[in-house]
Amino acid sequence: MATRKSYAYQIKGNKISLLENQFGYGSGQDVVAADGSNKQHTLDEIGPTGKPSWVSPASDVTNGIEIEYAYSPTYSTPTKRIDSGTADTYHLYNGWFVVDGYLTIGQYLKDWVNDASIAVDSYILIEGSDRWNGIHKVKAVQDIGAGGSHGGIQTYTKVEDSTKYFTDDSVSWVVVADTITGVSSSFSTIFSASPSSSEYIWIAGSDAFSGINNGLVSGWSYTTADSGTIDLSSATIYKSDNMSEGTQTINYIQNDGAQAVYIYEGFRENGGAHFYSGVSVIEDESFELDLPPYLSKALVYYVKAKFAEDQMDIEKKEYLMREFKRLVEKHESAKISGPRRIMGFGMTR
Amino acid sequence: MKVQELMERVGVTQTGRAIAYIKDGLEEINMLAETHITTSRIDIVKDQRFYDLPKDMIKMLDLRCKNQLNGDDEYRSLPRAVGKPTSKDSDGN
Repeated sequence: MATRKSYAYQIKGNKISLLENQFGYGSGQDVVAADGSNKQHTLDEIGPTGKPSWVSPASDVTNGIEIEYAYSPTYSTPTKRIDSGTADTYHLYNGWFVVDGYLTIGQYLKDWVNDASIAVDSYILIEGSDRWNGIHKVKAVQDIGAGGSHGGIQTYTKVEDSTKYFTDDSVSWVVVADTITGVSSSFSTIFSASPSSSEYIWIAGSDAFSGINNGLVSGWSYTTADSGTIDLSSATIYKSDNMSEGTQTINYIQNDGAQAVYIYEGFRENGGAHFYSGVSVIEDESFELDLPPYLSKALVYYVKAKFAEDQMDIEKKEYLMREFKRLVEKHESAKISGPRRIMGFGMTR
Repeated sequence: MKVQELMERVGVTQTGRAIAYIKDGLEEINMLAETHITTSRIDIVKDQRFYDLPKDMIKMLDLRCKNQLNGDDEYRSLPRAVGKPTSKDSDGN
């Protein structure tokens, strides 16, 4: 049986501050004190132990937070298709990284270039991400096996965070030892030489075996041997197994010499996240608005009001905004019928 | 209703401006009357206090956590805490 938890939240900027109640009590008042004597108890023994009540979450919980929210229907989601290779519209990606300040996503051994619905200036809809749910416009697409600078889908979404990046113009992937050699020592200045299990990097640049050396990796180490070596013999690389995240721990490196390497700080979508490609977005007159007919009329009033405001006809704008709000409220109240009943704690009020 | 029909009803021909205002209007409608609702799940990470809100969120309707006041893996709503927690997070917030 799962452990009972007690959480509370606060909002801080655009983030949720999640707190867990970890109230700890002492052993309470009993006849025998902690030292075995019958003397008077200390405060620690009879009261709270002094631990703070509300602290950061005390344990990992997969899919632990569920946010229900309203969003703006400025797009229509395509059919979920995962059976046809290049015509698929539903995809998994392992993690994200930042290329030139823009959000970029990637999947191990996945050549996005061949996907008919993933093109420059098309739109993707991300779902199941810890951070990036919603619509993103595609800026560039690279074949992961062509030795490109990232091998993923770069979007126009700006990322404000400062993330790590390293490149070296001539390194070698070595199959025997599962290493990348000839890596400048500045790698270990930027990235950790012996990272924790929650640190990830996205490796790109190799064009061997359809890009088998590239992808999202954790568990690497760096030594100064062979003019600088990234040891991947104990690393984990994240891939896609039937639209779920899979891992491979050893023996995936293949020989590839004198290549540039591009290493980005990676952010794993735990379990992988998905996205739709070929998403239709409101950008021309043919877009069908996903609104009930009555609210479409309200939207007409809203757009009229904004045009009136542009012409500084404030009286007209105020009238039209009133009509807009009246229609929205009427639509809301029209959905409620019959008597109302308040649900209480085991009683009817 | 298509964008074209809406523009005809409004009596405008400037597509770019009309679409910008339609997007504003769709947001405003969802602020007032939540026509489109979805849920998003995020992993809780030990000792991590701060989590990003979804990028496309206009209005948060509920925040639930797994095993909140139960041991049956149910998601239940969280109360909003008032006041500053005495225990700081490792990032200093």
